[in-house]
Amino acid sequence: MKFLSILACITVFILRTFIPVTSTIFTIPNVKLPVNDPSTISSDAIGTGIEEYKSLDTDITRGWQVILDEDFSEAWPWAGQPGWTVTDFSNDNKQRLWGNDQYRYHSANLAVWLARGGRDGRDMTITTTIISTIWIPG
Amino acid sequence: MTFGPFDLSDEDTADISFWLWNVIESINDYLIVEVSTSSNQFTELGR
Repeated sequence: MKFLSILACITVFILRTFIPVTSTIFTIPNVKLPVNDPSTISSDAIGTGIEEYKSLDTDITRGWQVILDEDFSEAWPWAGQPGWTVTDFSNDNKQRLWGNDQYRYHSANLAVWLARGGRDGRDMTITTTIISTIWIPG
Repeated sequence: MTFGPFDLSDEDTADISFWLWNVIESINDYLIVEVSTSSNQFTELGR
């Protein structure tokens, strides 16, 4: 991987009551979490190259409790915001972690970048290094 | 990067949605979304 950038916005909802939802919040994807039975995990396609972002519609979200809404537009991750963990899974004695930067931000002030953070974090404007990491929201 | 855990023990259902824009090499690069109920074993939802 010579060049990789990811901008992302994650929102997790809990439906407390079964109110029909007639449309999706975002264009894609729509991934179901295994609340009661792990065997029920299902997934629609995880989209790539999507540039459209739809704002939350309060009518659509009625009955849902938002427990996470992250656009990575603030300092991230930081100690005052529990929940996020970033880890370097590579074996090259380097520490490169997910971090955010103003480089090529899209809808917010910052964009989250692979290997922007950590002791050996890279300037994304010049990064050409092969990097291995994993992003696991859940 | 990982977020959690969430306590969903009293919930009926849950949904995760995200918006993504990326510039990657289609052969070598990919994004994996996984979930776990144990924090040890993760189930891949897609890539």
